[in-house]
Amino acid sequence: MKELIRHEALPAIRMTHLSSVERELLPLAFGDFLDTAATATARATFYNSRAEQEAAIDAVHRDLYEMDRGVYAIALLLPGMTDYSRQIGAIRLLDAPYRDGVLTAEQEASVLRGLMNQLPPQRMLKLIGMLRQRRVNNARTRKLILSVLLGADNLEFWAVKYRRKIATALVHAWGRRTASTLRAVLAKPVEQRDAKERQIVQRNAYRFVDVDDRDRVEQCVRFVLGDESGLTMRRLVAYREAKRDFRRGRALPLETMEGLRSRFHRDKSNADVLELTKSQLTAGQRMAVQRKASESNVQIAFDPARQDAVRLYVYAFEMGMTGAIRAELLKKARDAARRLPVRFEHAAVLLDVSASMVGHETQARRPISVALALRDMLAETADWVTMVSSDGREVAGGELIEPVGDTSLAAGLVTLLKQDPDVVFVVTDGYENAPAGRFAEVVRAVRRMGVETPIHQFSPVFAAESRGVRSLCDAVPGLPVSKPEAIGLGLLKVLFEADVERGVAALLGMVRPVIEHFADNGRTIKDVRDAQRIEEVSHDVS
Amino acid sequence: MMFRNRLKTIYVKDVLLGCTPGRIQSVGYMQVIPLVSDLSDDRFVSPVEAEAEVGTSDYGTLNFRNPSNRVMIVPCHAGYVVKQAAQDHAMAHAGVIRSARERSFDTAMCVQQSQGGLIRRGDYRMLILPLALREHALSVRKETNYNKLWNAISVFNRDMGVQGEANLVHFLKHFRKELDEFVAEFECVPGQVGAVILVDDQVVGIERTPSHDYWRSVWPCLIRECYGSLAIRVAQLKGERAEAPASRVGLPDDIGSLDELESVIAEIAAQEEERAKTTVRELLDESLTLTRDDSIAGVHVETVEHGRFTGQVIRQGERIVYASLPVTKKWLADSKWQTAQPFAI
Repeated sequence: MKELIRHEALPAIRMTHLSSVERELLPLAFGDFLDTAATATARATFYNSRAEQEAAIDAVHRDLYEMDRGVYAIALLLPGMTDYSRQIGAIRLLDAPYRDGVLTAEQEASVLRGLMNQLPPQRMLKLIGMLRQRRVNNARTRKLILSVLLGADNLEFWAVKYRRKIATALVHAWGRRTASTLRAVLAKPVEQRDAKERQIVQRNAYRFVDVDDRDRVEQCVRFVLGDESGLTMRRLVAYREAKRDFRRGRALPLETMEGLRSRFHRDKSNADVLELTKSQLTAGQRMAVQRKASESNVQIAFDPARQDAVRLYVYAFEMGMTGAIRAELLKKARDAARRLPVRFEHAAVLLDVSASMVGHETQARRPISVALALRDMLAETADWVTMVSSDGREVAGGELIEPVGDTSLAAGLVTLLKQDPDVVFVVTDGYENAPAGRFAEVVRAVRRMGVETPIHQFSPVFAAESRGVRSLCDAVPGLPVSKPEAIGLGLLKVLFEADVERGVAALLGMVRPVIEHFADNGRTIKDVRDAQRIEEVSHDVS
Repeated sequence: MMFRNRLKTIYVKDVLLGCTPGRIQSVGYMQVIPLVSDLSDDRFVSPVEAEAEVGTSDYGTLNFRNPSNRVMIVPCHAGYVVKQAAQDHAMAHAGVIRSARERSFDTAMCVQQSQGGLIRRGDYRMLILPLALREHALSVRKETNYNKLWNAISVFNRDMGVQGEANLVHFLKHFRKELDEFVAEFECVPGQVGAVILVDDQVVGIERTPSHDYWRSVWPCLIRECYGSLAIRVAQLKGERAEAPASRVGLPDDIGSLDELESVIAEIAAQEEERAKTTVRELLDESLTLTRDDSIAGVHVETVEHGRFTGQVIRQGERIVYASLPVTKKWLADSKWQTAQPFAI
């Protein structure tokens, strides 16, 4: 993979706290971690049960965490990590006290804020639920929950959409008694609160909120804690009034209004709710409800530009491919390829379209969707591209391919190598059966005859039984991909194997903007960096 | 077809009518030759396709409700291992249930000695009994005795190195990972309605179903528990000497160019295709002696007696709509003699 890396300037890091054995083991643990965390969802796959997935995921997380807590924390921020990996990573970091490593305590706090903010709201709230379930309630956890929730710009929307979950999260952070006290205190007008009450509000809420936002946050907190009196904010009022008047629910999210309909407006249909709340749908919902909308005769505009390529492919499998979607997919592929530090004259792509690429029923067609999105992006890394599928057909970018049949990749590899490309990318789940092992035999044969064209395997499926992706061949290790943007993870893995310190430096370089953005009190990572460990120098990595 | 003394003789070629062999799939000791057909009889559904409700009303009695508007064929030796505290059961034979009807089979067998309780009616994951148990299960298919398979399961578990008398769940748990891998490794191909299954180069079973959808729904159960269990046993017996079957042709070491490599791969693929055809061709004239067990919904359920294969076929008139034919233990044990070439100088 080294040949893929262009010259880059990276900061130098000295990992003086690692023993020589740990320096050898860290790249292995890091590689396993990337394989797993970039694709793991803890759902059953075509091959593994949920329990197997969870056990395998936990093992790789533990290995890297125990090796270096800082590297583990930073790695969780990498683009391409799944939400589930970030959730269980954040829990692991919050559950154990800070330990010295490559990050300072302040930097780690920034990472945690970054992790929370990068999760979609429902998954962020699920993470808080998981913390509650595991009784993780230390000062760092409480501060993190309150700063993320009370400081959120979308708090009003979240309050009506996830009312109960936010209440549970706040009660977990404050404790039942404080939450109850706060509810009583916030019910009073500000000017009627005594000094002690003002102190309670300051300590538990105001310190996480800008001065201008205090009234907004107070109303939202009162609302989620069950006090609906004296509210003036648009959505909170709409919630209260929509119980009586269906039409007032226009400002509410679809799910919220659906809940109110089932309790207070049973004469109304799902289609009525969809029509009423269509202006409030998120971009993801607009895509998800297309089938329902079409069945209910409701027109809902859907902008493919606001979806990622994988979701667009999943959508196209369900609803059909259109010219607009294909154009958007190809544009996304071009944009993603532009951000990669590689460019080829001639690239070749071998695409596995066998039956197992459908994936498990809980994530149906996700593996093939990842594979197709990846194919499009890889095609855009070169001036000229040759692509064939496992069933021997030439394929084109943006083409929707239904997975069927057995897996035979060897003949396709030879077909591509005969075109003399700069590189061959094989996109597969790693299960070959016609026959098993033939691909590895072909790779050995071509190497023996002196063909050194780089061959790389990318796998969209996490296979727990091999603690990572399943490789077709020892000489071509499989690299995990959950979305095209995550392809840079493979480069990191190779850097770690070559030189731990340069690997950590590259890792830090990739996530530094996020850490800086979430640094506490405006301090950036530069300000808090330990000069003993990190010094800024330029390196050529090639 | 010939009729003699109320028995009926058919041939494997009758079972494979309308099929052609597909590309052989090969992983480890197991090989599968897909049987592909343009003909698909969609009048029949499997319990998986129909989302049939299954339960036990008494020890040894399995009940099925067919909610579909098609005739449901319960595969021979279908079983249900459920999570609830209930005694897991399996059928001792195949079953046919009319559309939108219920039917009980009091010839079913308990496969979990240590557990009591009846299975609540519901839609559960189906399995097909391990191949090593199927011949015995069929021999006692007419007995109404819920514990009739316990001894066979105890022997099976012991052979597989699994603790737990007469409890199939111990085997399933112990080898769950290996069994799951078989499902992952062998994929359905378009138009597939059946398969010839080989383990270590020996044909160990022939399966034929009415339609492609039926096949897709039962294949995971067949490859996982039924034939997968045999592949695990063979791997155990081979021990450290684990290797691909002798028939698996590897690439030669002295290939000099990509063109040559391409032609060698094509040549080996052609050889493998020919071998698949030969394997199937050699089976075609194998006779199957049938005795009739049941007639319902215009089809006959018949059992294969005395020969290379055991199992059952379901016929409608002269047409075989379903067949599950695992090889007999005796044939498997004597296979080297059975397939020896005739003396010649």
